[in-house]
Amino acid sequence: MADYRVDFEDVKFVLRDQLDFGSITKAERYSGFTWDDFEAVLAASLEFTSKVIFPLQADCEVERPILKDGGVTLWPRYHQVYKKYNDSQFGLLSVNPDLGGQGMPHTLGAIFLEFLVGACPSFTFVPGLAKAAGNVIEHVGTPEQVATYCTKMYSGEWGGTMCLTEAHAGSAVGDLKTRAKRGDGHYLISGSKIFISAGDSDLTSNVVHLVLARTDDAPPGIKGVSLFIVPKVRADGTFNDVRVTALEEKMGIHGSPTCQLSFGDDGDCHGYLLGGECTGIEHMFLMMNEARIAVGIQGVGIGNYGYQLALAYAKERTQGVDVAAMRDPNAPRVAIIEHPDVRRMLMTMKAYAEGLRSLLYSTATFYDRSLVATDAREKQRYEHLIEILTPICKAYGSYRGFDIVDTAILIHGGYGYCREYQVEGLLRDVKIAAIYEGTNGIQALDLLGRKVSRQGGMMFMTFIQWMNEFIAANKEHPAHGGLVVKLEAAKNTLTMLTMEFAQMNANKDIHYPVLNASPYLELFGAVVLARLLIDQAVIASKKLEGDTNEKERRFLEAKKHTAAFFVHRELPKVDAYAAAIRSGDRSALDVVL
Amino acid sequence: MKILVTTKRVTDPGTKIKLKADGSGIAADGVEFKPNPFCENAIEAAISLRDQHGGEVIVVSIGPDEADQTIRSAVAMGCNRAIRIDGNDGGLDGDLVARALAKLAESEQPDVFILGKQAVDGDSNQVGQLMAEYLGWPQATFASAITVTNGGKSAQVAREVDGGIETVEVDFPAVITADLRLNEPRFASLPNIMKAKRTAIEVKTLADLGVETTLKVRTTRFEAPPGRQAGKKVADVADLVQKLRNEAKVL
Repeated sequence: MADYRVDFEDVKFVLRDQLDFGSITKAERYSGFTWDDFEAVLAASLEFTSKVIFPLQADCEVERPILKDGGVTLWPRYHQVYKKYNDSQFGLLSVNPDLGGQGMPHTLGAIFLEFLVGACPSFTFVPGLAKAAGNVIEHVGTPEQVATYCTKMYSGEWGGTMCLTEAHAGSAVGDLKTRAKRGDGHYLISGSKIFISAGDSDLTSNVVHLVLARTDDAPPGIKGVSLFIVPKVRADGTFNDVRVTALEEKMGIHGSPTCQLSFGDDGDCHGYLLGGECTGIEHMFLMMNEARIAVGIQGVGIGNYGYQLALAYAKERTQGVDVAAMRDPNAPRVAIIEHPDVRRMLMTMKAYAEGLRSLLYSTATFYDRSLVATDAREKQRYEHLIEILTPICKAYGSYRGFDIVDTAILIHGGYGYCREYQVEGLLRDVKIAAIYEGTNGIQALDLLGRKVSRQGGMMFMTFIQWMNEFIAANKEHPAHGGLVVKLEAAKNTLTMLTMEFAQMNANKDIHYPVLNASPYLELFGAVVLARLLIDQAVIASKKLEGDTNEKERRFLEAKKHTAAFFVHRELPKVDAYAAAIRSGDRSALDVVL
Repeated sequence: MKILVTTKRVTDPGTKIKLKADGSGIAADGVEFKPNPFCENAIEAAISLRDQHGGEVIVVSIGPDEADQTIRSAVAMGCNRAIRIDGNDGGLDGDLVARALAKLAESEQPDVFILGKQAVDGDSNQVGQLMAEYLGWPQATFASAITVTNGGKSAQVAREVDGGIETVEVDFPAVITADLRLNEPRFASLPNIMKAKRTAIEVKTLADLGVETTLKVRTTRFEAPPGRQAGKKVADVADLVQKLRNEAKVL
């Protein structure tokens, strides 16, 4: 099995050179840290991930969680790795120091997640869900609830879940049927949930479920949904009538116990209200943005590892001769990286892998910067960018992450389709990213129906301003100005289309814009990635003017090629999507299937 | 128990090193450094002995400013104090390192001084032995297990020798050098990494220690080993036998 590989030079390049993240230590909140600290912590966390977490990935392809007596058992090595993970405390990187964390910027936590999820996608669920659920309690809970749950969930002593989906309420979460009956100091929860990630395991002594349920006299639909803390074990140590009824048999992420849960079979499941009644969705959405960015990171982590595997394989696998010497039977055999079609595939993967990394890191740093912004307008600017970019991070990140691994399999040829190589496993693991935390179709609707049109298009305007600033600053660039001109044209197409959608809405044509939401998101994503990759090329050119060693020069020269490749070969898709959207073609709506 | 332990930064064994064109040394351009793996075994041993028997662990390295990062990774693993003896690879040899460390041992007076059995760059395997000799302390090299005996006054050490394990008992103060199977070095936890970043490293010069800096080993030239020659294909067994007899002359 190949080692785990992350292009750490690229990680540092994006964070330090492109996003100037070291400057955040000037803000009071992070003044206790230096760029040096960030780099040291990231390097150590990557080393830890490679040596301790990565070996578990091979296990996850052969072992399975086992359901026994209403609870889930994981195999011994999983327990050992989980203990080492908790002992390392890397999971507490960006957690509030009052709750046991180091209080470092969230961006670093996001990058650590990228390392983890590339090394062993399944492993991230138990710690990740505990952290996410703890986060909701930290933000919405009473001081007593925070004290009871958060520290234990963040440290990994307890697990956590987000219980939204029911058999008939997936994307339409407002249709859920789980009930919450007011009782004495608590509510009685009854109902069942499906697809619950990290729904149960014997890694932790307790699992704290956050359950969406409907109180007795609540209004119908999404407005009548409340959020409850439902621990598997109550504070007094008694069993809280929560059972695992089945483990889902999945396509991938086999090491993550995805459960069907039943609450209150014996009528004795206590739930504690989190926030007020009928505010459940609002609170759930508090962490939905973060969860969606985490899913985008899954695309980045797995996609980048897929690219690294394909690159190494292409350099080592010899097959065929140089195409120019095809008629010569004695021509030397070459590594497949010499074949133009393989090079095209590798560059496509590289552009998306590095572009997505830049997109996800950018969005994560906007969040940290919004937390420390002293100027209200600056803060709002970051918040707008996060809102607009979140559905793109999630959907574009997961789609392209999948595509990268798909191409990695092609580069491996027949071997890529076999279990002996890692890429087919990565493909099954990354597929889920397009589905959960709101399917990619939902993301497209969120982008077009909410983010772009909300507040009279304010968020979109902020985004366009972010684009325009970059274009204005670099249009005359001696080396990359031509790429910027193409970017500007694509950006103008995006702006025009967005206005045309607004026109359609004004004309009360509801179905046609919705039909085009996904192509719109694709187009949007390509424009954003082009901006980020050209920015990298501009930075690379500047760095090449200074002192560099051979390794650095190779890295920086490749950045320039990557931007050119993307702008010439991927960005033109913007025009194709625009033509499709403008075609007025309604056949998908009119056809009888 | 007071334990001294060494660490050394070595060129990352996972990367390909290049020599300077004039053969005067290894080209520093783009070289990455890592802690010597045997030193990590030594540090792990020192920390776990301290955790069992109390006391403190002091990590020491000889090197330039840049070695601080390697020293900090030892502190992050759990060493209590850190000392760097300022020096450059060009101006050092195993003997000078041993003499400098012996001087430090005289002033710090540890119960035990644990070192890696060798560094994976030069692979000299001398420092522990020479230092024990200069100090007049007993030595137990290539340790694969260490058990403190006699109420903390001595240790039983299992040594990896050709053909098996030899167990020796050394009275403190003693020198022990660590082999790879001694233990599995721990990963530093995040809080310890952060703490190590803020730990002051005490810097001493060779002059402070009063050691004579004359070298016994003089490096004349670095050369890469000759590249591997292509093999030969033989037509049949007779051809093979003929070549083994007449060309390789092994039959």
